[in-house]
Amino acid sequence: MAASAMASSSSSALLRRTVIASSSRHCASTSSAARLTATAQRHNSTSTSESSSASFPRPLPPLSKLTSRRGREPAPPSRIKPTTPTFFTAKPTYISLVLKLQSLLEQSRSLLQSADILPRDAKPPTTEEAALYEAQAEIAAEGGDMASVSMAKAMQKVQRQSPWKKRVEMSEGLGLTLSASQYRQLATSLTTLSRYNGLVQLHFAGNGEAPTAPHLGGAAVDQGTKLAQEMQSTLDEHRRDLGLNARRGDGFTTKSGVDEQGRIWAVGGRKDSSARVWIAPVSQATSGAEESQLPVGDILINGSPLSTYFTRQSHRESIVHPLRLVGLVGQFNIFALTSGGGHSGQAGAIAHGLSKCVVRYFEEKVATEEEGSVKREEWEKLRAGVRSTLAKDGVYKRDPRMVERKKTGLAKARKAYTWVKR
Amino acid sequence: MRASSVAGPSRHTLQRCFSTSHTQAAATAATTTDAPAIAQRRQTRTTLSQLSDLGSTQTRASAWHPREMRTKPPSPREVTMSHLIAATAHVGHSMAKVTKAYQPWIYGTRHGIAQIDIERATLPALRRACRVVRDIVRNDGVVLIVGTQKDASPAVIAAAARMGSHGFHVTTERWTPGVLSNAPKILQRAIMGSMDDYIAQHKSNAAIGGQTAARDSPFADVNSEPSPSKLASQLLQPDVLIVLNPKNNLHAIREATALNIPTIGIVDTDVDPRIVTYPIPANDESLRALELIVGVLSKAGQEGLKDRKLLTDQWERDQVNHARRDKVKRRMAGEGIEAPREVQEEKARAEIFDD
Repeated sequence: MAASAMASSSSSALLRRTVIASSSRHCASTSSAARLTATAQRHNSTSTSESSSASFPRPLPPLSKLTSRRGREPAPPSRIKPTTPTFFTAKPTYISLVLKLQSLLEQSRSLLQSADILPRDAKPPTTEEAALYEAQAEIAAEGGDMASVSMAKAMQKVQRQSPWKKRVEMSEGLGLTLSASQYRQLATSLTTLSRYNGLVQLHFAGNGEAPTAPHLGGAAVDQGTKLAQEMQSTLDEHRRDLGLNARRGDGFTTKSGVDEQGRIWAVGGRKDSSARVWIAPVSQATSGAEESQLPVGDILINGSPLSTYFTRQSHRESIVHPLRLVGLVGQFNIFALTSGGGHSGQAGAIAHGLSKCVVRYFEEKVATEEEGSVKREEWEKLRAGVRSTLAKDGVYKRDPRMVERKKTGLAKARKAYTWVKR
Repeated sequence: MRASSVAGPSRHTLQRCFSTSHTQAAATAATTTDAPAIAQRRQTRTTLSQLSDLGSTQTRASAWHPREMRTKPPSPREVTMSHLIAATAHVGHSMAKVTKAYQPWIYGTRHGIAQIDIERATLPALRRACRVVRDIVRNDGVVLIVGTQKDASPAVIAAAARMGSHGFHVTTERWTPGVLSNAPKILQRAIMGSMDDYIAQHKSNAAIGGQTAARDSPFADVNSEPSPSKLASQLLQPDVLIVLNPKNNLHAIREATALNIPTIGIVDTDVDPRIVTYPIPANDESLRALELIVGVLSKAGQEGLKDRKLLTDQWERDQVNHARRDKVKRRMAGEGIEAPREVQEEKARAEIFDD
């Protein structure tokens, strides 16, 4: 009964009637034997010449024929096949990466647990712990003393590490367009993996300092070394290339820099205006006669002095405001180029750019000092103080307020027409 | 790569027998990752392994674990009714939901739930499907496994991997509609990314003297390079589609049917079995049954892969021998020496079979 239900004739008749199969005029073929015979007949070429281009591979001879030397037919060459197992997902590179990250995570977790480094059912190490392990692994690789690593230094190092690639960059790397949720999934997986990376590098990267588990066999140790290499390379592959900003203390990535003549520049914006601002510290030893006087910095905007370009007092004050907050009025020569918007917008843009310049100036001072020296720590304190002051005031942040659009049915963005009762 | 032999009384039982200081230390070790904690855990492991000789001979290595369904599934010849019933593959849905075409495969009811006839329906269907997969892989076909349940991914990926370069999967995310029926558009990016690979494959096939089209096509031409649209719509299409949850993947089944690609599916009692070419009546909601069935199918594919390898190895050896014989023949023809008996025989055979 069951066999008859699966018999060729009834199933083929039923298939033709089903809604899902009705869209195709040529239904799926009948029984397995019939299918294979049909395929064989359709594909079987009577011609023995292999140069016939329209012929299909002849069905392979049964294995029994291999025993006789005569009558053995050559096997046909391989057909073209998709290159990755995820080809039919339509986003093979993305799915492959997701699966690779999952598998690396699973492998590292199981390896660490079987080596008793992590307890069973342990949560992933916290960011601080992970930073410590990474720092220890780095020092162990160089051959130093692991105990010398402090938590603070480790955290600094981690903060200086670049974040993951941006969505556009990652999309380019994968060769397809990532949606926001897809990118978020990748970034989360990468972050979780990076939290285990420290432990894996420390114990399995073959640094020699940390002893691996004695009960693990040689094969497990090899697997651990391979895993450590693969994890490190996968994580590095997806880190953003920060370029010039890489050596900053806190991984800050605003648009600012130092030009060839040592002047600090930055870009500021407000409403529809944008400004490029250059500052240079006023040299202390200018001339003997002016030594006793306080240094006075010049401010030039689009080639004109401040007083000429901005006639309104409030605009002038808003530009000087960042310097006044940190007590550096007159210490810098300022040159700004602005365009777009109106007077208030341009003044705000210059103020924004100027505050970024000031912070960048202190960052450069920190970077030029030797790492670990007292001077560097002093400059670092100054930098932190300046940045926090400017940030608290709000001039360091790009004011996001823009002109609101006019809506249909209203006179302006919010203003409504006079309400009429009837 | 797990440490062997934690046998006998459980770890917790043994730890309770230890002194209080040890258990306290063990408790703190459960939460920390520093060197003393690691040493504590390793000491516990060493002690337990030393005591393992006192317990039973059943060890972690010798006992069955659910993960073995994924890592070591039974082969088509080994799978039995017991395997399927232990995996709850016989449990269907309520009798009210049983489709008409499914009726012959119901063994009976239990608590109002339909029970699938494992002996007369599931096993024969599974073996038939295994034979199909094996023969398709043996004939250099492409097998695509679609299993979109969240927990099915590891089993599906392992199954596809067992079939080497012939196995493909759609598992982490849903089936993208149009992958088969609108392939030139949907798969364009994926193909363009690997175009060099496909051209290289085509060239090596052409050099051997074979053809490249997977389906009967008047456009199969060895001399021209395959275009991306031809690759998508003809050359790179699968030869069989295995669907592990047909209820949720009707798009996939419909596309395959429209393109005359045979489908294998695990059909439950509330699904019309006629939507797929080779239905396997079984429970589609049980992860264990799914892992068992896809594992068995992949083992069949593995067998087909082995057969193919045997045949291609033999073919390669034949190529070498043919080339050697050709060389000898040419030399003899050049020198006017009479060909040996073997060569004469082969010539005669060729004359007979070549017309």
